[in-house]
This record gives sequence, C-alpha cells and structure tokens, in this order.
Amino acid sequence: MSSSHPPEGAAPAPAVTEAAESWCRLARSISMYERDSARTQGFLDDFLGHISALDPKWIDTDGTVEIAIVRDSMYVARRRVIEKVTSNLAWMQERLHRSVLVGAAFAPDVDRDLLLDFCQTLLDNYSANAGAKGFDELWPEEFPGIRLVEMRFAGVFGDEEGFTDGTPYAGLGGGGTGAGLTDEQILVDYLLSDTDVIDHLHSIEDVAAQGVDKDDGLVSSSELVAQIVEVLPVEAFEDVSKALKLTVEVLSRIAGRGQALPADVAAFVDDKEIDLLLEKIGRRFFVRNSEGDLAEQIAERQRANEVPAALRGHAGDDAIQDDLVAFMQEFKKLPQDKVRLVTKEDVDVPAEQLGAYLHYLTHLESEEEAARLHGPLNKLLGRLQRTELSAVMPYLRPEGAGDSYERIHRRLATFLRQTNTSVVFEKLGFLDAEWVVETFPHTFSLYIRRLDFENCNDLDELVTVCNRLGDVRILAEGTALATREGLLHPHVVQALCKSPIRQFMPLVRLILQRGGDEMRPKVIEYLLHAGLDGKEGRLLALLPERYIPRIFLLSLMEPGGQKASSRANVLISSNIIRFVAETADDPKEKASRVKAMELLGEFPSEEANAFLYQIIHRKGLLGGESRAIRKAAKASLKKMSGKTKHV
Amino acid sequence: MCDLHPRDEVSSQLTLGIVDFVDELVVAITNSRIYSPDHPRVIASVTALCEQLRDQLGTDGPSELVLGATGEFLFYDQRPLIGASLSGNRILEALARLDSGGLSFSNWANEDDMRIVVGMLGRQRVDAANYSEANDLLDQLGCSSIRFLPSYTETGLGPGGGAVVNGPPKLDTPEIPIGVYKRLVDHLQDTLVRVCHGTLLDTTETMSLVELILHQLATDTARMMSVSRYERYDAYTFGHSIRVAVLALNYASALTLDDEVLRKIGMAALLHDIGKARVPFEILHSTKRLDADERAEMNKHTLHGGEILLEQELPEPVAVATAFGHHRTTDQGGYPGLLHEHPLSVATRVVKICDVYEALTAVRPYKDRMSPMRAYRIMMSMGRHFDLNLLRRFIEINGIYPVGSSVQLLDGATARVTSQTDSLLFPIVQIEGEDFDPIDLRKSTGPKGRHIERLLIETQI
Repeated sequence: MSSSHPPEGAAPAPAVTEAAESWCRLARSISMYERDSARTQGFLDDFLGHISALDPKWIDTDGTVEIAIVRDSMYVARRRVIEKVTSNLAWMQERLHRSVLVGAAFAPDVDRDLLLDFCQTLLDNYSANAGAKGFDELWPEEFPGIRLVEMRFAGVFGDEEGFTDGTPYAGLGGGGTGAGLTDEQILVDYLLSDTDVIDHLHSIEDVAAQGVDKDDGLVSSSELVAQIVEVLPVEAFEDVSKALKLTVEVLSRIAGRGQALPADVAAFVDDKEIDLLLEKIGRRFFVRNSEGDLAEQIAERQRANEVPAALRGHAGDDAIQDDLVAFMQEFKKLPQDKVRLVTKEDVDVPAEQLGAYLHYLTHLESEEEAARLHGPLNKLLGRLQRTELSAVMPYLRPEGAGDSYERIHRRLATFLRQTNTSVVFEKLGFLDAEWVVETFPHTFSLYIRRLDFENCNDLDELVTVCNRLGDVRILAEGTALATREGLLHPHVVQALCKSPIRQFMPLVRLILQRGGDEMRPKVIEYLLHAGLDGKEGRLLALLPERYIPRIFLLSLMEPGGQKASSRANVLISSNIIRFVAETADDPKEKASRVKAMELLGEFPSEEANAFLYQIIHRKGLLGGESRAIRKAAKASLKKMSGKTKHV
Repeated sequence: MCDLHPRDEVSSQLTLGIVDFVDELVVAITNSRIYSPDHPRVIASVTALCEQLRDQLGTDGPSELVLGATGEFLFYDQRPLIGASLSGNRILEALARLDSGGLSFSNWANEDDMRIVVGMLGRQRVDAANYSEANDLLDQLGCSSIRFLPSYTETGLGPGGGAVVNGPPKLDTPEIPIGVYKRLVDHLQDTLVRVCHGTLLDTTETMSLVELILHQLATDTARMMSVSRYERYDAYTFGHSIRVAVLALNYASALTLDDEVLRKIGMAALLHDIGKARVPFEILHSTKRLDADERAEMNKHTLHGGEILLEQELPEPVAVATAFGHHRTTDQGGYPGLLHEHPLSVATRVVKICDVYEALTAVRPYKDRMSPMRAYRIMMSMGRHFDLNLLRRFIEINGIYPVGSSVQLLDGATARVTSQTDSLLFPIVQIEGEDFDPIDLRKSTGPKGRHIERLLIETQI
C-alpha cells in the first residue's frame, strides 16, 4: 500500500511528465497496432525506461509509480505534473473514466506482457462499458506489478472537518487495491493507536489462543478492528469519540465472553447499537457462512427464471445463433421493393385508425367514453375510400349472440345514426334491411334507390323494413324523408306507387303529402292497385284526377283504415257535383256521370241533397238531364234520406 | 513487484446489489406518487424494498446502508452508481431540496419506516427545509431507522496543498447523453403517474423530447444511438420505450425527409407501451413465466395504450393506432384479436420492428444481451410477423454493426462505427486512437485492407 506523501517543492522534471505521457502513447499504440509490432514495442520500451529512470521520490513505498488523470490534470505520485491535459491525455482520461479508474501505479519491473494486457483491458472496457458496469465487473483480474487507482468518492457527510483520504484526488482517489487511505483505513489506524483498544485486543488474542483457530474464521487484531469499523454507523465517521467508544465496547464484550460469539449474540446484550454490531461481527468472525457464494445464488436465481417462450423457439428448432454466412443468406432472401420516401399518407393511415377506433367504440366499458369517439370517427369516415372502410363490415354483421354482440350492434348503430351514415354505406356498397331500420331515416333513400322493384326479393325486403319501422315512425320522419332522403325522387315515387303493397301506404301518403300535384295520379294509381274497395275505390276509378282532392286521398291513407273522413266526404261530394256539372255537354262522359250520380248518394251533404233535387227536376229536350241521370239521382236521394235533411 | 492487496469480494457484491436496491427504491417512490400510502402496491413495493435492504446488508454485513448523493450522482461505498443515478433522479432532486447528502438505512428499518421515507421522497413538498428538519419529521413519525444525511463534502488537502477538486467529479460518459436520457426517464415517470391519476398527459413535453432526440441524432448520431444499447433495465420499461424511440427515429430518419412524419413516429414510439401503466403491477413485475391468464392481462397493454391516448384532449391518431396495433402482425395475427382485417401503418410497422429488436438485444433480468445479427436472424425467421421490406431496410440502416458500437478489426485495432454504407459488412468506422478521418471499410481492400472481425460489447445468451 502506498502511504508516502507526494514530493513537494520544485516543478516536476521533464522526465516525469515524459513518463506519464509515454504511458498514454503506449495505450494509443495498442489501440492501433499489433502488440508485437515494432511501434508498440518501442512505446513499451519508452514507458518502462522512463519509470525506471525516475528519481526515487516519485516512487511509492510499494515500489510503484502512480500515474493518474483527474479533472484534466495529470498526476504522478499524487503530485500534479500537467495542469491541462493534451489530446493524448484526454483520450486516456476518457478510457480511464469508462473503466472507473483515475489511474494506475506501475512497478518498473512489471512484466511486459502483463502491462500490454492491462492496456488492452483498459481499451476493451472502454468499448464494453456504457456506464452501467462497476469497477469489479470491469477489472475481475489482477495484474501483478500494477496497482489500479479506482475512481471513488471520498468525503464526509456534514460540514465538520472529516477524514481525508490523504490523496490529492479528493473525491476520486483512494480506492482500488491500495492507493491512498480511505476513511475506514484512517479510522482503523486511529483506533489501533488507542491504548484501550490495544488492551482489549490483547485479551481477545488470549481467547483465540485458547482454541479458536483460523479455520473458524478468527482473524488478526487489526483485521478485527477493520471489520468493526466497517459496520460502524456512519455517524461514527463524523465523531471519532463515538467510534472509539463503540469499538472499545464491542471489543470488551468479545473479550469478556471468553469464547466464540454465538450467532444470537443479541440475546446476551442489552444496548441495541452494540447488540447489532456484535451480531454482525460475531457472525462474520465466529460462524461459518453456510449460505454459499452470493454470486452462485444470483446465478441460480437467474436460472430459475424462465426465458420467454419467444426466445426459446419451439421444441425441435435449431437454436438461432450468430452465423454471418447464414445471416447473409437469409438477408438476401428478404424482399426488396424499390426504395421510396415515406410520406404522411404512409404513416397517418385512416383505415388503421378506423380499425382501432371501431374496436374501442364497440368494446369500451363506458358508454360515455364510447360516445366520445363519435367525433374522431366521423372525421375519419370522411377521409376513407370504399376499400378502406372494409374494417366496418365485420362490425355491421357480427357473429354470435349475447351481451357482447348486442353491445357491438348498439354502439355502432348509435354512432351511425349520428353521422353521415348514408355516405358510409354508399362507400361500403352495403346496406341491408337491418341497418336501414337501425339508421332510419338516414339511409332510406340510399336503400330505396338501390332496390329493384321488379325483383320480388327486394320488394319483400322493403315490406320487412316498412313492417319493422311501423307507420308512425315512417310518418314521423316525413320531413327528413321528403327533403333529405329523396323519397320524392320521380324514380322512387314511380317505383313505390307501382307496387300495390299495403305496407307502403305511409310512404305513399308522404309522397302525396309532401310532393307536388304531379304525384297525385301515381298515388291514385297506387290506391287503386292496393285494393281500395267500396265507394272510395269506385270513386277513384271513376273520377278524373282533378276531381279528387288531396285531402280526400290523404284521408284514405290515414293509419288504420281506408275510409274517407266525413270532412273529406263533404269535399268529395262537391267534386262529384262539379264533375257532373262540368261534363253535362260531354256525351263521352254520359256513363261516368250516371255512375257519379249514383256515388253522390254515398257521400251525403246538404249541397249534394240540393243538387240531386235539381237533377231530378231538370227535364226536357233542351237542357234537361237524361232519364238515366235523373233515375240515378232519385236513387241517391233516397239513399241519403234519413242521413241528410232536405233543405 | 509491488505488494497488492486481494480484492474485497464482499464489497464488490454489495456494490452490485445496491443497484437493485436503488431500482426498488425508485419503484417504491413512483408507486407512492401514484397510490395512497396504504395501497397494496405501495405496501408491496415497500416490502420488496425492505427485502432488498436485508439482502443487501445480509446477516453479517454492515448495520446500515448509506446511499450517498452528490451532484448528479448517487454513490455507494465511494463508488458512483452511474446507471442508478439516471432512474434515481427523483431521489437526487428530493435530497437536493433538503440539502442532504444521502440516506442512511439501518438494517432494522421496517416497512413502516420505509413507507414514511419513500413517501417523503415522492412528494414535491415536504414540511422540512433541510435534512435536519427532515430527520425531526422522521422522529415525529416514529421512524428512527432511516436518516437523511448532512450534505456531502469532498475532502482533500485544501488550497495550495495539491490538487483540489471542488464538488463531485464531472464524469464524462461520452457514449450516453445523460441529460437527454434523464429527461426522458423523468418524463416517462411523470407520464406513468399521470396515467394512474387519470390526469391528462403532457404531450407537449413528449413532442419536445421527440424533437430533442431528433436533434441529437442529427448532430451526433453515434452518441445518441448509444442510448439504444444502454443496458439499464427498469421494471416500468421506461428504458425500453426510450430505446425503441431512439431506434425508430434513427430508422425513420432514413426513410423520410418529412419532419412531421418523423415527429409522429417518434411520438408513437415513445408512447407505444404506455398501456403497461394499467397492467396489474404484479404481472408487469413478474419475473416468472406468465400463465395464460396473466399473459392475456399483459397483452391488454395494447388496448390500454390506445385507450389512454384516446382520452387526451387532442388524441394523436398515429400514436393511438401504434399503441393499439404494435403487437399485430402483417398477416393479421397477433393481438389484440380483432373482428376486422387491420392494416398497419408504416409508423406501427417501424415501431413494431424496433420494439422486437430492442427486446432481443437488450439486457433483461432473465437474459443477457443478444447481438444484432442474431436478433435479425430471429426476426427474419418470424416471417410475416413483420413487413419484410421494412425489416430489410431496418437491417440495412441499423446494420449488423450499429452506429456507435465498437468493433474489433482483423488487425486488432478497435474502431467505432460512425455510419452505415450500402454494404452491411463494411461500415464507416473511426479507428480508436487515430485522429484521421473515419475509414470507409468498403474502400479498405487489398492485403492490407481492414475488415471487421467482431462486434464488441455483445455477450450471448
């Protein structure tokens, strides 16, 4: 161990700085050239020559020359010899630090190969250590003739004057295998100089002489004190008197016991602090360590942990190893597309995001959180093309049953009802009765436009849709259907009204209600084909469209029946009268007029009553009505009697 | 020959174990920030911490463990804990606020004591102005086994007595941009806490960090890429996410010139595993093989991830889709299982490749690091799990000797890879110790040509 103090006074001779720098040159040479090369060997000769030639005052008591680089300064024998390091020295400092060293001490007669090995290890450590490895990992082997000066923090906690390590590398030196003195070593020296301590140690040595031999772990006095120091509380390093008191107390108890301390020494003492110290010291010195090697335990623990399956491969697989040839063969088999720059569109892929969002929409536990996705999903849907929307399809037709299925369906339906749904389905090219009902009325026009009314299956499906929607729901959405959903599109009107299906009644009613007059003939056509019977049916079949008022037709299509209301009856009564009056001179309408007179009796009103009287009395060759007309009027009047009073 | 002392094996083992202890402490602090003190997770992590402490001290070891803190480093037994200092930044900050130089944990510290201290370290504000008041507070709370230590002072000969080092040594670790890494870890820790508290994420900071990585990659690729090989493992997978982000951004930088595309990929990569914040603690931290139910729960992290990102005020759709789909395969396999065919964007494909590559080449508690070449061979054998065109490009860009890694040449020289070329076997390298310009190994032909013999730093399973 080195304990000499650095030489003071005169500036270092050039030979000293040259010795230090020659070490750096040697290390750099090893990094570049073969160790047997003339160049490296030359630097090796230089270095050994320089340190051998140094004045003895630069040599430590252990016979070594200590060279260190700390904070950009270079030291030999702990004396600063270069204040600002050169690039060569900076290079060396970097490697030393990565090796958790500040320097090394070299015996002038160090073995040449060992010196080269040491330098090589220094370089290897530089490459191998990214900052996580400690001194002991990096320097598992010793290099006879070379003393490593480990980088260590040496200081004290607190403002009091503490123990110094006695080296100039405050905060960095003192560690390793002997350079400088640590706090513990200084404290040990201090304690060993105390007469009380020495007296107690003598007593303990007497105990040892009585039968506790080395095999039981007994060590020398100085080592015993060193071990006591090691377990002293940190405060003891700040307060020497405390350290002395504790040490004396511990030694006293050990000596007083007169035999090897049992592991449960704690049972024999009362002071807690002393108790703990004794327990530790007792176990260390007098009880064999049966726990085995810690490193082995760690290794065992690592072995116990299983390597993940992904890394183990499958049973029977050949283990994949480092094999450059095999690697290159496999690499060449990888596909090689033409290289192109990645763009925003490659990274920001709406279809991928849609998939994720859809999954969340349909699987999140909270309805509220699911609802928060509507906005982002809406934005995405607007950006997607038909093929990119395919992710939606499985959610539109999920398989299975139960809560999960229902939730998927419900969440998606809720979302789709609130979005530009028809665009989604239009892009998808898919829309079935289920989703028309779920999303009604948003997808209705898309649906109805895609129907083939000549196709029975399509018509059946529409019947199903209308049945499931129900009249009330259809009529409630009248405005939307008429304005946004294209119900009044001529094609739709034409197709619907040509289909004499009673379930279409509410749709046809909306056409009549919201559409123009041009819709009326088609609606009448629908009503006629839809099986309207009785007087209403006969009326529609008889009268030209212009004599059939919209209100009458609407009354025929009231939910729940095909009978005109009394108010509509009054109105139709007027129109029959108008028809009869306006066609008086038209011989082609003769038969129709007779039928009209017959029907008038079924739509009683005061006006009809009066008109029938007029017809009955309108006789004569000029301006008179035919016998058939008057006869029909009489019959109608008779039919009305009792229903309407004659005025 | 000089007289050399035998190495102190016990000290060496303790130093190794202290890293685990600090990791456990960070986990406990993070949990204490998320949950109430009596939450099972806090209790579990504090219990684990106490076990670590007992393991660390052992039955015949020292009576207390002193964790020192100075500047940006935690240290133990005078030795810097470089890796632990990164994840333990919160500990450093908390101690700095109290002007404390560390913590002393006695071996009789129990779970209650530990919970009190962990709680204090996790809080932004403690009713104590300094370490002394903090200790008073501990006393009031009945905790005497753990103490905040006074500030740490370096000792030395003093002015005029030789070299004086004021404060902690400035450790230059040229391969790891420590500041950037720390900021990333801090941000991901904060993100985890926000997720657990149900508060909005700071996506502005996330984006700033993505831009910072991009800037670092542009200015010093090798230095930033060293993060991708940084072998610190953390239970919360912060390190994994950071490494995947660095790999993905380096890769994507070669695929596009569009900054917006890069930012989107970076954001997606950094947050791709955010869903793990909602995976049960016991499963996420399990060191045993997961059973089918546990695996199913773990696999839900993709669903949780997208969900968390969707909960933000302005969800970034690319990040949502990547978090959701990065375990899907191009042949419609993987998880989550879906009703529909699910296309994967380039962002998801890139992150997926980097995710698997990182997992294979990183150190884990149950495995050592794997070489890039072997990782590629495994990935190629997985067929349509990946977009094979993109996998090919990744291999070309990342290389079998990745930028920043060290290689040994046939002539024995050590070199650092500075960039890839069109040949995987012949990258451009800087020879260690030479001030010359980097060498293009493609052009280094002939009898005296330099070729790579092996990649350094790699150890095989």
